[in-house]
This record gives sequence, structure tokens and C-alpha cells, in this order.
Amino acid sequence: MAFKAEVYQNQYLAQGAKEVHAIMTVVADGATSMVSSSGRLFGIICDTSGSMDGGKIRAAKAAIASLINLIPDDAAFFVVTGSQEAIVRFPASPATPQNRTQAIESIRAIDANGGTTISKWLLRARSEFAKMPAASRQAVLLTDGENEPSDEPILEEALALCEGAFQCDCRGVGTDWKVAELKKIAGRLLGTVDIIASPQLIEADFSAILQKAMSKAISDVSLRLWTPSGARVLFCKEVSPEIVDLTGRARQVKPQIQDFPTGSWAGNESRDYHFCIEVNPGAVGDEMLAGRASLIASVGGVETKLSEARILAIWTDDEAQSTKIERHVAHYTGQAELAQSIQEGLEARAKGDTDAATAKLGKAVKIAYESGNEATAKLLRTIVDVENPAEGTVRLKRAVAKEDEMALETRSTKTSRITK
Amino acid sequence: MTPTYPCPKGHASADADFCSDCGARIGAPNAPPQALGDQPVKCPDCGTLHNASAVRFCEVCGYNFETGGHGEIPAAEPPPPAKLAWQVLVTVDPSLRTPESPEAPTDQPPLQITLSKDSSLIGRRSTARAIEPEIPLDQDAAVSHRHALLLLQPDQSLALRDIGSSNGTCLNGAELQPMTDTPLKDGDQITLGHWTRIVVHAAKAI
Repeated sequence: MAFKAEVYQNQYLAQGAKEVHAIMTVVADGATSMVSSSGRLFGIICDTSGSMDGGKIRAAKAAIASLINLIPDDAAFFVVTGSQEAIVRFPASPATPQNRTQAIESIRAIDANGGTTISKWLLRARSEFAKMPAASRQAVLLTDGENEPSDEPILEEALALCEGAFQCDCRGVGTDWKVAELKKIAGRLLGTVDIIASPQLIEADFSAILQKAMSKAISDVSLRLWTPSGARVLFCKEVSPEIVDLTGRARQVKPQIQDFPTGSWAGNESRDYHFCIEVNPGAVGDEMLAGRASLIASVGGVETKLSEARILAIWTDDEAQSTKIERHVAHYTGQAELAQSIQEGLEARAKGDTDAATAKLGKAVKIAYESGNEATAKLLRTIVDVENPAEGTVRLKRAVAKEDEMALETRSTKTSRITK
Repeated sequence: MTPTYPCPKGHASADADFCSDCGARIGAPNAPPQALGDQPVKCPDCGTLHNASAVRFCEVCGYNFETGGHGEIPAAEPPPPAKLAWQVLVTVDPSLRTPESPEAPTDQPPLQITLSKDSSLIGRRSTARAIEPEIPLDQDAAVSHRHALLLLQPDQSLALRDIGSSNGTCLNGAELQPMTDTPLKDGDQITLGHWTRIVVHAAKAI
């Protein structure tokens, strides 16, 4: 498994400047798998609260059954269902024909009633994952509603316990779930969030998640950042394929060295990261290393460095050099602004502040158009009528489907790559 | 024992390229590594072997390792190509004023500036931020502290770059894209702020 890391930055700083921005692109390249020996465990976590009753639970059960049949022979799986309590329907076991049949049999009798206490589902899944700590550990969580408010503080603790124990993609079916809540869970568990507007689509979505999970060739990779003494990491974000702020997730390894979790990687995956480091300002002509970023895989407690890249700072009195913004940095700064404009625009729209919503969503349309983020532009067009994308002139649509609004909110953090 | 490398600021670095404590570069970027000091170098002219760390001249034939010439006195450098200097004329033009703008001052004399640097900043002075523009437009509050740059190109042509000013810069009446360089020619009119007009005069030899 080879990783290639490259840094894009304008290393020239004006006198007195101390903020260094850099984009690191990481490409994993390798068919050889580092996890096949220790196995793969896939967890299915499904909401069975009262609101799931009817079409949703029927579709979910069918989707789980077909998912169990799709799990590769050499992998393992488990099924946890939850309402106000969590039940292990089928414990972590290898995907033998007999186990598959039994597991499918065990979910047949499920019916939907009770509340939604997600913390308990996650903790139950965590104890199943604890049975195979060396395996690549991925789960999918399906829900259709809001977590009980009384569960909030407990969920926070549960997430802290589950961090690093497994990765979890979250899916909300229908439109009664809260985007912010699932984003929080998926963010902490290094997974994705998406809306499944209608129950018939669960099956297709589940098989895509499984396929992605099974393509992972290496798990538990962290991004290690060394910074010079006196420096401060202002932020560290994944910016492609999606914006994920990792700043608060740092684990101090040693003084000057911190690790950010990146989870598992497939053999052909590529991600970009944006660092912003504040260093002690140097004198004109000084050159220093502002950061050394490396990717570290830990397999069975042994750390292997996969790749390394350097972030530099050179102070100059040449304004032609120091005022330039590197195009990768500019692009992803724009993409972050796009996500923020959508978020603020949707909030203003929900409050009935038409002017602010029009301005913010107009700005979002303009950035999406300029940066070639066609996927986000398309989602924006479900909320606003675009008059002139280059100018960002838009009008809010009168009638907007709830699922379109939620899809935009959920996917607003997806970014586009820089156009060549 | 793991080797350490002395850093220019006095730390013992665990890395050979940059100090593992303060990040300072170890060894000048293009200087030969110190280890080379013990390896002999051959004079390209007469073939005598020399100690690389000490050598500037070949003491046998007088070859100068830095200039590639002979003798101790370096050949006079060829005279630099005639330097061209662009000039700008800064005026207050009340006709540029929009209704929202304050009244244009009438006591501001036109200002003629010769561009002597490769990069000249157009902006407003700020002592707090230590901004000293080459072309100071303190009288116009709608000019950003760091507004635009006039950049002398290697071929002696001049380019204008708006560096993300708040209110933008117009060249001959057309708004410029920020952060892009636009070549300038004699007689070009730059307008910015409330009512500032800058006329560009082409390079003449000085």
C-alpha cells in the first residue's frame, strides 16, 4: 500500500505575517491489502422505533436481508436494532451460509415500537466491534427520527467511547430526522451522512455502503502533524471529497506533534486536507519548516509511516510573491465559503428572513458556478430559481420539497476538485 | 545513539533538513553540504586537486572558482541594461464622485511619482499595520490600506494587480478581477476609491 502526499502552498509570507496555509493532497495507491489478514467486520444498526412502523420497517428489513447476502464470504457481520433499548439480533459472526440464514431469520420477527435512544445502539455496536479489534470495522446506522432530547448528554459520552472503535455511515430515511444530529454522529465516527428520501431506496444505498466498506484496504490511518515550537495549528480540515473539520479531534502525541484521525482508506482513494498553522514571524529572508505532515498507519500497535510532506514558510519583502494566493488554497477556501453560505442561507430561510436567505444562497450559487461544483449547483437549483449564476442573482422558490432542502443541507459540505 | 544536527538557532535537531525544534532550515538552501569540505575538487582549467571547503582560487593557474575567470580581480560586470522608469500622476477628480461619497478635497495638488521599485503598493498609510505604500492615497478613505500593486516585469513592462481591495479598481473604466495581473500602457487611467485618478506614463530611459 503506497501513499503519495503533495503540498500546494504559497510559502512566501510578508514581513510580520504568521499564518501559513497549505493544501495537502493524498492519494492511496495499492492493490495489496494490509487488513485482509485481520479480517473485516461490518455492523448493521437499524432503528426500530415506533415511527419506523409500516413501509419503512418493511423496506429496512428487506434491505438488511439482501445486505447480509451481499457480505463477502471472508468477512464477518452483526445486526443490532434499537428503540429506547438496543438488541443484538445477531452477534458478530463470519458470513457462512448457515449464519446468513439464521441472521435473516432473526430479523423477520422485528416490529417497530418505542422511542429513539441512539447512544444505546452505538454502545451495543461498540461491544460487538470489540470482539474483532484488529479487523477493519465499519457500520451503517439507519434511522428516521430525532434522538430523545434526554439522551443528548449520554450520546456525547457514547460517541467519545465509540471514536476509534469503529467507523459509521449514517442514513436518515424520510424527512423527520435531524441533519445536524446525524452529521454530528457521522462526523465523530468518520462516516458519511445522506438522506434516503423514500424507503424503496434503502436497499440500493446499503449495498453501495457495503461495497465501499469492503473496498477499504487499510484501517486506522492518522494524519500526524509536526509543528515548530511556539506554533499553533489554527485548523486542520479534510476538504475533499467533503469538508470535515478535524481541528478538535487532535490527539497530542508528544509536544509539537499531534495526530488527526482519518479512518480507513480504499486502495484508490484520494483526499485533500487544508492546514492553517500560526508560526512565530520571521525576518525577511528567513526560511523555516512550518509543518511536517505524515500519514501513519497503526497495525497491531506498530506504527508505519506511509508518506510525508513539508509545509514551508519563507519571509520576503517582495509583495508580488507574498500577496499571491495559491490556487488550491483559494479553491478550497471558496468551497468552505460555499458550504457556510448554504448553511447560513438555509437558516435564514427557516427564520423567514428572505433577504438574507436570497443573498446567502445567491452567493452559494455564484461560488458553485465559478468553482465547477455541479453537484451542489444542482441541489441549489431545487431551492432557488437562478437568474444569473455568474452574478449570483437568484430568487427563492415558493414551494420546496422538504427532502430537497434536507438533501442540500446534508450534502452542502461536499466539495469539487480543482479544475485542471 | 541517534545523530543530531546543529540548527542555526542553537538547537540539536533530530532531522537533517529542518530543525526538529524550531523549524529553521539547517544549512543554506543551495550551499554545498558541509560534508563535501573534505572531498577534493579539481580545477577545471589546469586539473590540480584542491580542498573544496577552502578553495576560491586555484593557486596553480589562478582560476577563480566563483566567477570562472582568471586573476584576483573579477571582471567588471557588464553595465546593466538601461533601466526604464514608469511614472504615475495621482489626481483628485471630483467628476468620479458618486452621490454617497464625501465631497472631494480641492486643496490636494497632483502628485507625480516615479516607480523605482519592482513592486509599488497603492494604498493608504497605516502606522498600526506598518503599511507604507509607495503611492500613498491617504486623502481617499475608500482606498484600501493594501489596495493594488504596480509590478515591474522583467521585460520592463508594467502590470497592475488589485490585491483584494474592498472597493475595487477600474482600469480605463472597466472593473479589474482581483489577484490578476493586467498589463499597462502609456496613458492608461486607473480609477479607485471615491475620486482618485492615476494616469500611467510609459517608461523612458533614465
